[in-house]
Amino acid sequence: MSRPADGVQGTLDLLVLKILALEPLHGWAIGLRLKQVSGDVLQVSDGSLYPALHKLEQNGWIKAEWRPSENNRRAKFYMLTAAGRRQLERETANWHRLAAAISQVVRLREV
Amino acid sequence: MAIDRWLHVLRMRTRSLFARERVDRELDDELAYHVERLVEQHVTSGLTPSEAERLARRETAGLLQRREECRDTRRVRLVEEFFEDARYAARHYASRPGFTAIVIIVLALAIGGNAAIFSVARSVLAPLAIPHAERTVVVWTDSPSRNWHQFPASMPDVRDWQASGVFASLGAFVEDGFNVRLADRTDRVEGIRTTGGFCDVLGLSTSRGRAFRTTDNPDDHEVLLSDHAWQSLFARDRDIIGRTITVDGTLHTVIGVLAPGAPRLGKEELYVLLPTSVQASTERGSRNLSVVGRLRDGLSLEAARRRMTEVSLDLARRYPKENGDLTTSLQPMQEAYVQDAQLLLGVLMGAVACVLAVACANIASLLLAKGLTRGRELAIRSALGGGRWRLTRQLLTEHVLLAIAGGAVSLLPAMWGMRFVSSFQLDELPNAHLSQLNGPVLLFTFVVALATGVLCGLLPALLVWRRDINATLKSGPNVDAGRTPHRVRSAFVVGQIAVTAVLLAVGGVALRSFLHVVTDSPGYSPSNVLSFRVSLSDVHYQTPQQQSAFFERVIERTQSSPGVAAAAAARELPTSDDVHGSGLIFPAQPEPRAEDVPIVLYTSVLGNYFGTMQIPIVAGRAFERGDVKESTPVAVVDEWTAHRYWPGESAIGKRIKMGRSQPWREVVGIAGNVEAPAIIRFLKGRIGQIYLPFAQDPHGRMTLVVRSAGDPAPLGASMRAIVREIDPDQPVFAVQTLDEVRAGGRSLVRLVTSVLMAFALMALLLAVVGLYGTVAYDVGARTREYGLRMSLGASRSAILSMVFRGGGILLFIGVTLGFVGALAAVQLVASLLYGMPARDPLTFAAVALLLLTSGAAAIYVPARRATAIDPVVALRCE
Repeated sequence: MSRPADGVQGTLDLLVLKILALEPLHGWAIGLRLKQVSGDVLQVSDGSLYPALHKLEQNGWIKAEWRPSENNRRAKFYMLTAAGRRQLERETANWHRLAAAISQVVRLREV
Repeated sequence: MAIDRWLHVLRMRTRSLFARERVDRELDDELAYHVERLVEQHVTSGLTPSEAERLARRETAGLLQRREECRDTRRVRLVEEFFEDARYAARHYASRPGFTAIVIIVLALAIGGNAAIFSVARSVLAPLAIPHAERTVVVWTDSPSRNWHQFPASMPDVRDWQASGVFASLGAFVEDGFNVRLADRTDRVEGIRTTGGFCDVLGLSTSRGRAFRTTDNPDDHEVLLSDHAWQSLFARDRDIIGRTITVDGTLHTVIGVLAPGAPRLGKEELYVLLPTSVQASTERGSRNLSVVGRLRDGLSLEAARRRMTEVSLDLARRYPKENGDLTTSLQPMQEAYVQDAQLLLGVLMGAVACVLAVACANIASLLLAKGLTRGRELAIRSALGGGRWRLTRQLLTEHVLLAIAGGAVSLLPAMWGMRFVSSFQLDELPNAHLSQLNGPVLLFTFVVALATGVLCGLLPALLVWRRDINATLKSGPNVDAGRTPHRVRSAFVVGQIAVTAVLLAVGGVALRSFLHVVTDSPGYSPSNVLSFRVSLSDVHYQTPQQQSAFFERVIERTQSSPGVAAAAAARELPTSDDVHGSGLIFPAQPEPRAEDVPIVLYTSVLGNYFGTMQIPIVAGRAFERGDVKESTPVAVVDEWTAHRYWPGESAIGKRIKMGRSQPWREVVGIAGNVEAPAIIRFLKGRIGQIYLPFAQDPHGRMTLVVRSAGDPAPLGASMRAIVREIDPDQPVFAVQTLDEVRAGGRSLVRLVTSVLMAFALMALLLAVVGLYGTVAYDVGARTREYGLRMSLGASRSAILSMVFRGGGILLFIGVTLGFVGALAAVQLVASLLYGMPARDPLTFAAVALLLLTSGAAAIYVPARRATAIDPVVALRCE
């Protein structure tokens, strides 16, 4: 079970949770949304997106449902569970703490 | 983890495991949808559908490859692979039915033995259903100076203990049998005579009526029934309370029926109060009462023991003659109840555990050898990318499955084992018949099987990897497996032989002791003798004349009935566990201190007892018709007593007294020694036996012995008829041939012997097979070497001795180690056996001989094969 080498892997979970907090989406749409919101800064390959989604699902943060998609075919839609919402809050808080700490350090260097 | 999330995860895992195909299809569908959308995107950006599809395929090649990663997130891989391994293992074993069957049978026997003993132990050691069991104790009398422990108490002692304030309640009792008159017959029923406090101590609850209270008066003749007696004797009569029934010829009123689960101390079915004459007794020296008590609230066991020591010291001061050297000991009830069982169960458990260990070692080395021959298969799989951990797990799975199969099959031998042990109906193992294959026993069996599988399988599985895979792949299948596995197998063999030696030695000592008991002459001739007991009711046979007349009539009628050679009666037979002891006092000596008075057994006999039992009279005479109440009191002593107390002179004509208040008796005869009752053999030292004529020491309870010309068993019916004709209210009970009685006394040693020997022989078989396997493997691996040696001129006998040296060393080390263990182990069982020293040299020599010869046979077979190697063939076979 080798971990993907994506630099964003740690934050990928957070991003996916955040995106799904807004509305249920299927994998393709999540990929599009990721590219849209992050511009092209975060290069999330589809190859790492699906394992991440499955991991979140197995962990109980998100759950899936097969529904007709916007092009009227069956697609697997993911949505946040209650536990996922709590997890999102935790990870967001963590992220803020981490970001604050890092920017602090970065600022120190500049001085 | 929040419960909702946990449930969600559980649902996901279950789905992944049991709806695997669907989950996989969904994953494919999901990814297919992604590809589809990608194609759509390319088409809208102007590509032709086929170009778009090609591009999309290329772009998503990586994605599809990572499907495995998605699967990994399900975290059920281990389980899935387990099932894969299990299927593989099943195929593997199915193709080797012989090997598989042998391993499963060996495991089943070894695990089954453990399960059986565990199950028996569980029911025997189950806590007593007594309220406040932790504060309920047995109060024993001890005599440190005589080194006699745990004997009964006298009523005056009990009253003083009661007054000591140590006990919230105290009950004194004797176990007894009762003649209960029913509608159509009179039955003998086991029961207890007790003081009123007994029911309170044991917390006996009733389903009807009430239990005894301390205020109950024995003269009211009240009786309490067990639930079983209520059912079997009175067919659950709803109006039983207040009914009068005849017990030992006296009308008794039923006051209560015990609740079905009420605790029992033995086989008692009926309870009456000890008569006033006993409860008010002032005879401090007459000790026949068992005593149970519940400690006062708040008093610790330690404090109670200290207080009781003070009480005993005080009693010893006040009554130096009766209590001079006596102390008391308090034993928790639960402990008293299981004390006999613990050692026995310990020995049995030790034996079955040893067998399991031997079986484990045996199978481990078998699997190791098999694992080595499978080296190539494993090496190839490893080279093809099978991870080591993955392959090790597979080997382990195979072995655990084998063990679980053994565990499942073991339930059959476990059941036999349980039935076998409980069929002995040992008093030492109360409730053994209640053992069954219930949940805890099944769990135990499963855990033992699992542990066995892991232990047997782990080492071989790990050792297989100690070897260089490349070397294995390059070489042929016959490559030398390296020294480590060989050393491990050798160690296994040594261990098996050692454990087997321990089992054989312990089993052998038990067997010797058993043979000793069976073959030793008891001093009388037990064959063709029927014995039965009659206990006359005190009401109808109050005087010695009446008792004497009854028994004399029975003997007379018996002697004249067909098939009877001789008949007589005795108060107790040598086989009885009821013993009557007394101090032996000689004239013309300064009165000895209480603790210096020798104790002897005595029994009164009626009719031609010595002739009937065929006990020789070696000097003087047996009793005669003239030895009546009014004539000079006489006694017959056994040879041991004669030599012990009148060394170098004749005992005939000497005077003795059985207890201070008894008349002087003249020794008129010396009888041959007879074996002492089993209970006496457990005490230290020997004890004399003295016989008195019935007329001078009459009793209402006698055992009759009838010697027949042929098989005595059929005489039982006519004996019953004779007694019924004389008095239908005096039931005949305990009708047994003396051979049967003696066998009953031996059932403990018979059980120990048969279990130990069965397991020892099984271990021997395993160990011999193990030794054979190791030597044979070694010979196989060294075929070339032997061929080379022979072509260089080594003689066949040189090869033979080489192989023997290799195997012989293992055998020798194993036996030596085993004997060290056996010397310690036999001490443990020593107290279960009697009649011989535990470290019996003959037994040890026999065990050594047995092990060495069977070991030599196991080495000889492969050694012969080694000498039969054709050097040309051996060298060419590369």
